[in-house]
Amino acid sequence: MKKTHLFSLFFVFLMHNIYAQPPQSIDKTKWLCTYNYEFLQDSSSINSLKNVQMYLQIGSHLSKFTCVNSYLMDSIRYLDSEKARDPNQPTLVGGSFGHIISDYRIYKNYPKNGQILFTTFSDNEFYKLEQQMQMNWKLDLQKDTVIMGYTCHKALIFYAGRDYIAWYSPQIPLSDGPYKFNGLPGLILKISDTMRQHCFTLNSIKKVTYDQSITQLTVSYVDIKAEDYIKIKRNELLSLYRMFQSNMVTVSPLSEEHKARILNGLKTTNNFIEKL
Amino acid sequence: MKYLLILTALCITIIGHAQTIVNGRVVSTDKTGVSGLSVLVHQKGNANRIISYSITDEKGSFRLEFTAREDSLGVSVRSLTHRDTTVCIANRSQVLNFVLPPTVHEIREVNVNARAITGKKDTITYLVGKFAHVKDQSIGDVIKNMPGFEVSPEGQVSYQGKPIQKYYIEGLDLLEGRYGIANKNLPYRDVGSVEVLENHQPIKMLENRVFSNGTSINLKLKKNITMTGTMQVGAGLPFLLHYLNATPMLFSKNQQTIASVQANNTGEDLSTQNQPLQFTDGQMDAFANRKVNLVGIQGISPPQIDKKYYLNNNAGLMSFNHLIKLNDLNELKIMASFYHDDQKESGEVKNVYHLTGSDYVLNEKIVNHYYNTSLSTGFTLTQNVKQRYLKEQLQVNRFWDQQTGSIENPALLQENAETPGTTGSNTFDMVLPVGNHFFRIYSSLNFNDSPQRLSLRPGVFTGFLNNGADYSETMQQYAMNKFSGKQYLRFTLAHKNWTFDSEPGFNFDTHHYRTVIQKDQSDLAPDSLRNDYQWKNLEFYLTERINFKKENMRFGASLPLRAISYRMDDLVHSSIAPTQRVLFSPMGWFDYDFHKFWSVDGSIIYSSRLGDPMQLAQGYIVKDYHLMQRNSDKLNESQSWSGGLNLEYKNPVVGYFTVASWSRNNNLQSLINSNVYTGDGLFFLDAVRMDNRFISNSFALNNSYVSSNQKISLSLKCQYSDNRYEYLLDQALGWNHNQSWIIQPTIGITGIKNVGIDYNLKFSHTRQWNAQSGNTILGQAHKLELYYYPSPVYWIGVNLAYYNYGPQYQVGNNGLYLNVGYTYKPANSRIEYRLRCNNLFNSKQVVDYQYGDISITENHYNIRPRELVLIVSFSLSRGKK
Repeated sequence: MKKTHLFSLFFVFLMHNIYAQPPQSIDKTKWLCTYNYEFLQDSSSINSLKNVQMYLQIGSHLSKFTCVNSYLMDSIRYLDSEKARDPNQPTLVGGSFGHIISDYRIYKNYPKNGQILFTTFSDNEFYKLEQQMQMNWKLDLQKDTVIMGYTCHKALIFYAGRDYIAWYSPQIPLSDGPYKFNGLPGLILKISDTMRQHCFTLNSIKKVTYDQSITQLTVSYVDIKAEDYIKIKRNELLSLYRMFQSNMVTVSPLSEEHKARILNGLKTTNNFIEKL
Repeated sequence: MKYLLILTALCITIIGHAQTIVNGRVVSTDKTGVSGLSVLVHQKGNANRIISYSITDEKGSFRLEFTAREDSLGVSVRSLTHRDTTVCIANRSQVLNFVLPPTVHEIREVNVNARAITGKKDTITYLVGKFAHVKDQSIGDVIKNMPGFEVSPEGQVSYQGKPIQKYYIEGLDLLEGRYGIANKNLPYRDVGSVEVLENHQPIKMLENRVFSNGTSINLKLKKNITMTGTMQVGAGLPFLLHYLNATPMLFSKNQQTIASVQANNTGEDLSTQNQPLQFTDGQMDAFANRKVNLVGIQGISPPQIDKKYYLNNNAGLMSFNHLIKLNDLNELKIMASFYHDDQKESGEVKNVYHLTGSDYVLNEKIVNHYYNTSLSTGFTLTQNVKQRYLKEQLQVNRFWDQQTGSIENPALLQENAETPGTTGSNTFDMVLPVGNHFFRIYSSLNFNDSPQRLSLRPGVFTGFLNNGADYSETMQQYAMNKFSGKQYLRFTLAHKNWTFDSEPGFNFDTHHYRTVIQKDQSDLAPDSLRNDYQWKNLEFYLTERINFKKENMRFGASLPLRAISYRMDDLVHSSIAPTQRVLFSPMGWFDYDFHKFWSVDGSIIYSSRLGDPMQLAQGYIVKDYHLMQRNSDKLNESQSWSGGLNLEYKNPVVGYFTVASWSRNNNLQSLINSNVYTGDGLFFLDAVRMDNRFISNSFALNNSYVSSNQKISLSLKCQYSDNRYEYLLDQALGWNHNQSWIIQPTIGITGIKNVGIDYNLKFSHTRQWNAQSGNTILGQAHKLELYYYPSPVYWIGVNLAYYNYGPQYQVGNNGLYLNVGYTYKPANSRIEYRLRCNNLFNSKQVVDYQYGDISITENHYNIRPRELVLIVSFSLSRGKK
């Protein structure tokens, strides 16, 4: 808990100016799904299980997938930007970025139909990655199950270094899912790699009857390749590690034990979802 | 043009190709292509057998490629924006176009946000709403339904087979061990979730420093609940039954109060709400300070059915518990309770004693009354924050207990036991930081004063006590006076993953026992019939503990070395000269989580102990009308090896919990009781110095599962145990063997067509054999609870129990018991009405069997007759304004 807290404080310093740019609305949310994302932070330790709430906003022609913190932060910032700003009011900053492993925004069918836009922020810079949505699923026709009252079918895929098992329901004809996963004839209610290191499970699906925008930040992005993302995040962890080690970030006096725990946490954060 | 569907099928047959390709386009009625639609090929008439699919692109085009044996197939278009359409096509490559009218589809919203059980590190959260059944009222009822939990009939909550350590409400420990009152009266509707805190260290200062393997639970109330509780009044027939329960509870940030006034004669046991149920350091809290009954009348052992069937009570309870946070540091708790009960039991008992050469049979008709009255008060001051820990607790309890009974065998015998007592304790516990380490000071002082007596009319043991002549009364006086103290200093040194504990301490005990047998109110002079001795014990000990804790691995050892010096001054019999003993009881344990859901733990203990000085009474004491007991001037000493292993699997994701445990105990002790039968129905029990053994093994497997929608819960408990011990009858040593199997499956089904079903079967097979006898008792107990709730305002419950206990190869004794209840709660009302008919079949008795070393007992226990009770409940829940 403390660790994330310190992380976030650290980010707040960097975020301040960048987020002064108002975000733009690119679609309206029609369906809002929440997923529980369980993952091992350290692939070698079964005790490093973490748990993050993820949001999938499905609009009329695109969707956006983020962790709960980014979801809330984006919507607050959007609402804040809509109002005529009182110069005396402080700029809205703050909030945690969440876990480094789930710190991204994924847009499907955006900027063009059939494309995925993957964005992230690291070390004062925004990065973006554009990919094709095409996914080669293998349907397992023998298997079906019921999840949350919906009949689900099984589908398999090898994606970015891992074998996944997905359960989708044709009763929800939204060809979408958590992370970059899409392209099945129904919403993915549950997907997990066969080693159970990354597991997304649908928590809720709700029709959005009020006006909720799907937003994107109007900032300039640096184009990257898929492999680069992990490099960038590793570097970020490394620089954080060095900063903590050399006591450059001393938000509050840290006990040696606490510091050791943070450093250990940083060192053992290695299990990114994509293995490239 | 309500339905507009144009299907154009251009058939191009490609002979010789196994693969079929279907191309096409889906357009809306305004001729624009529709993207993101699912186009599925499936078996004709079965949309669930999907063969292949395609998602339309931005122009609305799709392409299906598949291989299928069927001649004709179904093609469905599914979306949330356009009309769902299914057509039947021939299995050949073709072009298929759809024109679909836009429409709005709704999909069922779901929210399991909301997953019933979530696990995060050492905390598992159970959402109360997900486990509540219609019939449930209190949080205790719902905890019972949660996988991994068990609630004993006395109200003790166990998690994965181990009793819980703390019962917190909103993080505060208001009730300490006496949590029964909250568990029974806190309406579950006001509780949001139950958190299970594993490896919970109750002392905040030692958190993350000193490992604890205790499990605690915390009840999180729903937002803005400030007042809650139970308010019930009821009355019934035929014997002017009454029922009252007013238990208001107040919870605020700085104060918590639970007050209670309860009274009933409807068979609801109130003592469970007034007794400590909590374990700390492997010992029942306040166990050292419990009241002991030194004498007692002869009871009938209670049957194995639910207490509500047979408890013939007239009880009252007043209890007040208040916690106040004086400031950020200090927490003050005061507690007072007054309990009164008049319990009646009646029935017939048939004892068969297997003696050398012959059986001795004894038939008794018994009617007993137990009058229990007690007043308990307590005061606790706690400082439990990161920087500081201090606890000062003062408790005083006073008991005015009495038992009266009559036994017809066929001569009539009146028994009267007065067992009053006063107990008190003062506990002081403090932890001080010394640099990075800790220093703990603990002191507890206990006193116990119990002048008790048993009167038997007419006089018994006439041959032994009155030269064979009849006399009117035998009175056994038995007084005990104890004062004891336990104090230690504990220095804890924490280094990385290791903690080292050094605990020097000293304990002292002074006991005084006086017994005398009176014949028609005059003391009997012979020394063999009286006792007057004092016991003094002083113990210095040093315990070294080493604990290692890593994320998934914990192990430790404890090495207590005790130097004991004791003496006994007997004014009547031979005394024990001052004796010094050194005892060593090492213990080792480990706990290893070797997988996300799996863990294993085990322990091994060698212990050497001294017996209870109460057993140093060398003069006879009348235990009941046919048993007199005396001991020797030797203190029983025992050495034992015991070990256990638990393998646990906890998967909160699928709701499956299992624990397999094995334990073994090998005990050697120096004294044995010798049974001497005099031939006229009288027994003498003498303690004899002779090494004897007790060996036991037990294996248990507990499984529980709750389906993800909480509609089905299954559990299976299996228990096997065997033990053997040596016994002495008429100077001959023999082995007594016991073996028992218990299999207990439970099925719970809820939410199927407004019906809830709970079924529990307990099958037991117990066998006992020794040189004198051999018995096998088979038992089966079926419990079926059926609930039917056709509308939200009322429900009907049927509670059926069937018991059959009996020796093997004999017709068992059947018992069938039925309770029926009807509950009505008008919509939006704070009042609920419950009408209950208990024991509809008006069954009279329940038959049960028990065996001892040399006897088998058949009990016929009279149960409550058919009764009709109406109870009205008022909701006390209030939220914040």
